[in-house]
Amino acid sequence: MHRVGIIPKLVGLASLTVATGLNTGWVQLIAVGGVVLAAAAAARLPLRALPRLPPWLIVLTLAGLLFAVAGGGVGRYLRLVAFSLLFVLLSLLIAWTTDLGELAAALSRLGAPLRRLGLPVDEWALTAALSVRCLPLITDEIRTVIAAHRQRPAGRDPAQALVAVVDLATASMAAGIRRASDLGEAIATRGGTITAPRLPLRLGVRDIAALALVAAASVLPGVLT
Amino acid sequence: MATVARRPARGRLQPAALAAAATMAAICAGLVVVGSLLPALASLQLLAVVPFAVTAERHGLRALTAALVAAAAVACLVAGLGAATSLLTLAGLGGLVGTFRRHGRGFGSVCAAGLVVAPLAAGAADLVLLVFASYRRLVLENLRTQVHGLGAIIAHLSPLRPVARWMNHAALVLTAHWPIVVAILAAGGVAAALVLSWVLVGEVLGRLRWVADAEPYTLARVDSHATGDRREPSPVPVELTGVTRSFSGVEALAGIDLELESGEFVAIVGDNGSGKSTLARILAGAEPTAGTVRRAGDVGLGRAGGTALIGQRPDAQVLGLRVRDDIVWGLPDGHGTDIEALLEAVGLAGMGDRDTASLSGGQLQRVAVAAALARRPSLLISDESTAMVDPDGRRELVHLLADLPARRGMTVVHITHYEDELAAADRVLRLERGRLAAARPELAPPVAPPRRPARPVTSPPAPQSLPSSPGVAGARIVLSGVGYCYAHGTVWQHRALADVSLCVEPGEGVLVVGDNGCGKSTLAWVLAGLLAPTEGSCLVDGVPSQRRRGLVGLAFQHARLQLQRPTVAEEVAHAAGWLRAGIHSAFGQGLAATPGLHDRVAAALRAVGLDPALAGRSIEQLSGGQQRRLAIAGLLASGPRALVLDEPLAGLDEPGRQSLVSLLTELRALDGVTLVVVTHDPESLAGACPRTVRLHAGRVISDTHAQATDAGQWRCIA
Repeated sequence: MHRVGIIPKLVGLASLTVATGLNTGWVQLIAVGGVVLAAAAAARLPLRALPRLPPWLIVLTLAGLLFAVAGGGVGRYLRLVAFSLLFVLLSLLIAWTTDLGELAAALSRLGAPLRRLGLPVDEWALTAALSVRCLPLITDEIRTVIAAHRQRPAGRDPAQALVAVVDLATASMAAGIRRASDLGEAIATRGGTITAPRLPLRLGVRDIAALALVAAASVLPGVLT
Repeated sequence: MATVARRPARGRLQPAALAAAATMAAICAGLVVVGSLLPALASLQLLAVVPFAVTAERHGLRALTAALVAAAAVACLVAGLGAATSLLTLAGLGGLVGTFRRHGRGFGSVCAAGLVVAPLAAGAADLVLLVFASYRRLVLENLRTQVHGLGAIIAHLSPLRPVARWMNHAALVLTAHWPIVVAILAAGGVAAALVLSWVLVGEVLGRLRWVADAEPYTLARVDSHATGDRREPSPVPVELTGVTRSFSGVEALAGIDLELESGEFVAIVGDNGSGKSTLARILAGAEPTAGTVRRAGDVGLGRAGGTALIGQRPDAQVLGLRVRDDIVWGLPDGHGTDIEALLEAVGLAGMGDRDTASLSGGQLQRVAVAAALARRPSLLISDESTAMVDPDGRRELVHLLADLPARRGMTVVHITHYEDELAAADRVLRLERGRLAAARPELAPPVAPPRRPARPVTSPPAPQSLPSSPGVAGARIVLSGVGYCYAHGTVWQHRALADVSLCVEPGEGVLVVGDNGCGKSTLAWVLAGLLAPTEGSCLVDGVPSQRRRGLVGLAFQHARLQLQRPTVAEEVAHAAGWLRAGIHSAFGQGLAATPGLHDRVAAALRAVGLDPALAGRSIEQLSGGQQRRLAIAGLLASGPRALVLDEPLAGLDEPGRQSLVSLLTELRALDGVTLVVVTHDPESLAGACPRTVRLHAGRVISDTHAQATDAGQWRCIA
């Protein structure tokens, strides 16, 4: 799963989401479940890594189950919950196994048709590559802003909570603008934006197998039912 | 409603706009991912409107589109298609608000736009549900079943039976007429979000207007590929005549006359604010306000044979995820570069495949030199590239730079505030308040540190909340077996601290040192109670630190992130907890209304050596050093028992460093505050903190006291 390229993952996620929107039957549920299981097995996802739902969400889900039993629609309810859980798990698997560094090349490849329409696809790919580069720095800064806020004596007033939101947003933006200005200078000192990263990106056997699997899981249930 | 670029691809994004789009996209993606993975924080998502609006307001729709695509791609991979869809909506809202702000439109225009956008949103929502009919039916039927089930349960209590019947009826009617219900919800939601965004963005942009002015004299608008100057790059020799550069009427550089020859190693020294960086930028091709710059050819910033620049902050100039990618970033013929030879030349042989995130500051600066050398520049400018590097890394870097004129025949301009780096230079230029003082190679006598006035003489009687009030002693901090894992219990789990046991006595001063990523900063967060240890305990006067947050104040390395209120006075009062009553104080009107507050703020500012006249200034107008002092003033005013500082000296010039060190020494000696300082520069701080704890890979590997008379006084059992 770690070695499956980014394109099958993006395409697979999108096609499964659309297929589920069009067909929410049991067969589709089993198909999505199969893909998630196969991906988890291929990724050797450790069991301890399964997301732990917050207690209030579990209570809410159980209450929903109670009402569903009383209302006589257990099957429907279980299908809805199962779909939600499966897609959360699929997102988690993709996030865990994907090297975000490939994102720019994938965007550049997937956006090829749009490029013919004159849209600046390379510019988008370049922005994506830089934003992946910034992501750890930015999350760190936002974490610090929130921590600085938590250090302050807390006000109980709801109005102050609203103002705190503005404070946090302003501090993050000020840091972001400074960060952007540094980044812009770094780009300029490398000679500006003449080239976009065009990494060689080929589909391997694993990618084609993965694409075939998600295509089957997306299309077959709809055909069968 | 999403803003899709209708124009064809012309007028490429300039570096400044591209960088803003990338940074803001990262913020948006971060917010939406957190919001969609943690349902409790879902409302955070709306905040992503602000970065989108700021992008649109400053750089236009083309940058906004790039930001949207980048953020959506990242969010889609990390949190699924739903997160990407939220981003589309938020970018639409942000784009609308930002564009109106850009063109100076008022609230009326927003309301008018809302009248257009709300029905569109309603139509789009209905259309999506119409297409995905199966999913819609599943959700709606579930809704009916749930209400029916709830009704069946409460119907067991006979008085509630009519309520149950009414609920069932309502659910049936609402789900049967879903197109109308969904349309009303979507339109109302978008209209409300638009108004909320307008208010939020207006408030944030209002406070940020100083940031635009304070932004450094940026090169990001010097795009040598866009100027159409196709002359061969030939940045040296260069002759500056009467060069002046002013910012909003204040001269940063005045009447500079300077010639640079080929193959020289020139050092430029000066304190913070002396115009060093401005001069570097003029040499790199930025336009002066007055005077002339004569070169043989084009300055060729970043082009082969042109000018290369290495900046101050190591992490800010890295563009690639791996060392290899970073070196060739932006080179048209990048794949033909001999990366191994370049890495060997800068002393990083064989590190081409390392993640840039795993390198230390000194190593990153050497990667930057390699990236510069890959362009075989004629002129290399180092703009304080040694300022944030540890002493060993600093020596190696200066040695590397000094070698280049002889080995590669390039001109090197090294800007610094360290006097000991001047020895290798052919020429030394000294900048003082924007003017060239004298081009003398000999060392100047060290500048005397501006000490803060002795407190008993000039200070007013200390207010009660200040820690200098008699009787307040520092806290005792005891860590036993402290371990910390980030993302504990997930696939991303990684350990930062393991089995750390320490005891810091009241009033003691401790330095925490170690390499990048050794857990220093995590330890600081644990001490301040901002992270609860995953194993062991951190007790402040016997109570777990996370339960007594605020008692141990933490000053972050990046001081701006600590400051929250718009003006200096409000910031101090807010940090100290002197303002508590309601919305008026929150919006700053309580400051004038609270008696005596003015004097307390002034005293708090004086305590850290800041001029009380700054009280009315915007925090964005302060320099980096002033912001750090302000952050410390706020912490001190809140009356902490201990103070933890993360890299307090980074980026300060020599006078700034010396006065901060003497401030820390005094705090501990006079006020008895327990002091823990995380640093990579233990030499400068040894006077303030005699004890040094060294961390490696999350563990304490040594714990030593400097040879001091008081070493016996603080005996500690670790």
